[in-house]
Amino acid sequence: MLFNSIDFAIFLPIVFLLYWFVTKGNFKLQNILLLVASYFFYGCWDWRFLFLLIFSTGLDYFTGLKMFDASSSGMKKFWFWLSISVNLGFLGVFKYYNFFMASFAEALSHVGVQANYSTLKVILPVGISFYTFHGLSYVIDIYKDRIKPERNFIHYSVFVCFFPLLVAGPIERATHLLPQITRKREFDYDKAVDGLRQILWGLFKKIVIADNCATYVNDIFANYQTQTGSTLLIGAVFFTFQIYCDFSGYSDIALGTARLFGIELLRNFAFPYFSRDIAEFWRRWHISLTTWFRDYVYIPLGGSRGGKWQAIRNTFIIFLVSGFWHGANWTFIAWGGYHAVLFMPLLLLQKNRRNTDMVAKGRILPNLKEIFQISITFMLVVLGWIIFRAETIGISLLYIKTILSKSLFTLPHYVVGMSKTVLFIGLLLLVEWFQRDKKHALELNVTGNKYLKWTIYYSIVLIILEFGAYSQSFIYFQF
Amino acid sequence: MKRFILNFVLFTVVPLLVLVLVYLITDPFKTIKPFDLKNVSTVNRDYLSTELFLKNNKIYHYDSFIFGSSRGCGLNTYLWKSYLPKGSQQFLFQAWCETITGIYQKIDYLDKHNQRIRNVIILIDVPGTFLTNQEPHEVMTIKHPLFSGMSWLKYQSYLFRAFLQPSEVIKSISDYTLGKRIPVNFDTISNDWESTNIDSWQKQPMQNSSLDKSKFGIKPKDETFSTPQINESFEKILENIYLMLKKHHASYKIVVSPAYDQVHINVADLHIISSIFGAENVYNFSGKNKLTTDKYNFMDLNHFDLNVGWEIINTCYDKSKSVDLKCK
Repeated sequence: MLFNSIDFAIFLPIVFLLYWFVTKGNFKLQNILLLVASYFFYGCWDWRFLFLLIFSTGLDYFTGLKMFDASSSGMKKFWFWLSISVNLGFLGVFKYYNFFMASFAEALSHVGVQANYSTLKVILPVGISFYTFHGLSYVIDIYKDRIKPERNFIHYSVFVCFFPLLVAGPIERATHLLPQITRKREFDYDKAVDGLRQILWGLFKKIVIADNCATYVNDIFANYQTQTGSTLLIGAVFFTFQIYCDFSGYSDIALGTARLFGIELLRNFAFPYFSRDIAEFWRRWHISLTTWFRDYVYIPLGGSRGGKWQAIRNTFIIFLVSGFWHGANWTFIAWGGYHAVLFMPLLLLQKNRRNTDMVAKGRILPNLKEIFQISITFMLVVLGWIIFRAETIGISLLYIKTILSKSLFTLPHYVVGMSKTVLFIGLLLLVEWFQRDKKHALELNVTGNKYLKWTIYYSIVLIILEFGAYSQSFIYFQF
Repeated sequence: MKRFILNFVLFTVVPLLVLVLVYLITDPFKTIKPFDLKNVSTVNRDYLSTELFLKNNKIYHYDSFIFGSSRGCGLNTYLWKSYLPKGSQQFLFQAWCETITGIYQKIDYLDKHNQRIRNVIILIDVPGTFLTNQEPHEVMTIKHPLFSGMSWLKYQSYLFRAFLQPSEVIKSISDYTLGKRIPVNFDTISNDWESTNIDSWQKQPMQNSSLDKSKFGIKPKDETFSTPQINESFEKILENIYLMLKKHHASYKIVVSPAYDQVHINVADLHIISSIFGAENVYNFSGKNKLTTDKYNFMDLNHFDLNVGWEIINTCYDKSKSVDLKCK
């Protein structure tokens, strides 16, 4: 079930009404309802994978308890590694098996050995990377004695399967979400209204910008050989906005939906395209994943405590792993590596934490230096997205080569057709710029003029209905 | 909570109910009230073709069909009729963005309803006919519930969604209040698009001089080939179509449509089609050839003119008149 579908528009109000009216504020009943709704939500995609989801949830729940109750550190370790290996095993089989086999066979062929291997015709269970990471963080936190295990299976299952975050995050932490699930939730009018606003803005980003950009991006990337450099550059810039609006739009809808149920999820995006350097970009892009890798990979590996070389090594590791997390393709690994390379100068010069606050804080407009920094960072990010989007690394290099050719200075195709999309990208940037100190772009003053606010809401609804493109699935579902 | 629900209802439910009412009254896609030739919508060709077929078939007892997408607009069934056995009654069973699944559903429907199938042309698009990711839920392409098996309510929900576009709402209201009707630009018997006077057409083939040919863009220098598209399920569908045509002892021609982009059908796909239907019944006009070189043969990048359609029919039915496809 997609967030931008009629099915979801029917599903959400039903669950909302049952949640607040039928359960009469009993949070245990509410959790049962959320769990049933979440399984239904997931089952609408493919009910067979519900068993995998339930098994994965049960495994982490069980091993969490076993670790906590273990009589010796050996037993604790055993349960910990059992959970880790089964979780990663599922990921390996469903997501990476064919990639590893193909890469292994190709490597052997370079030394003259022709290996026969069979590929698995596996469907990637939607959201597997997200819910596996939920489970992993829970198990690791128990193992490290940071939290106690949740003894109520329903509560724990809601933590893993809560439908707004089930298929594309944000990747939650037990320390943040579980306490909210195990206590009574009160309806908060202002938060619920703000949740609806965030959903509306998410839908605008997804349907008006991401889906309109997708039409051009798919065509340009599919026919990159016959396109001019200027058209390819437009394709890359459009993809930059497509992936941002697709994923952050999804996150906005997820966060807004959760707020309707009195639950706050982790923020996933903080206006990343206003970043002044790559380090800042990574503090603002897919925050829940970035911090996950920081806390569960980078810091356990020693972080930057062991000197420069260790910091370099660990930085490369998390960027490469982060790239690989996105999918079984060398392009994702190359994309991770590319960002690691961009990050290195900042790390070595110890400038990776110089831009921690929002750009042009307290001012309306940025200064020239900030404009320059934002533009350079944006172009570097655009280049990275070409690697990410291309089918192979070779294609991405050809694509970039064509952009850097003379044909960059010719008139691009599609100019007339894409003008509306460009206009809406402009609107997005404008709204986000003026709202950049807020949690989301449509966060409005609660005591403001009601008529003005309703005019804004209806305007967005009308733009969505009039200019929204045919709905496509969310990009991050495949990850 | 009450305040929240009240505001939410005021914001969404009330306008929605008003829009439902407007939709039911104005019937923007002419799918609610019974089919009436005096008041049709051409937005969804599948619906129009199907309803016209259902209305006429009792009288004309069609037995010869051209199946395909909008590219079929270039094929005139009256010209085709000159090659058909006497007494044949032809019908252009067309849908915008028709897929092989849509074609199969139509033939299957005819078969199950004991409709005689004597002559068939299946027009294949590269790549439209075998697009795997094509979603048939857009207003232009959503399949008639008769074929898709979709419930009428769900079908209407998709159309209603398209109607929600503000410009569509305004247009529907203004058309309804002004009593505006869409002119019937198709033959009400054969379903041919923009029925033409055949005699005058043959003397003066259409050249679409009014169209802006500068919009055609630059053709790629080398002929390109489409990626393989016929997977196992499509192959199965093609085999089922063949079996049904065989069952009816139908004379059939499988035509791979020409297009200005000169993208050639994938060789493996062509081989599959030929092996199922027999190479002698398959006519490939895709790729770089005489028909696809001249931009005046096309109304736009994808849609060929009636004169091209005539050359296609000649090539399929009369070897002496067949077009030399070699590019000059």
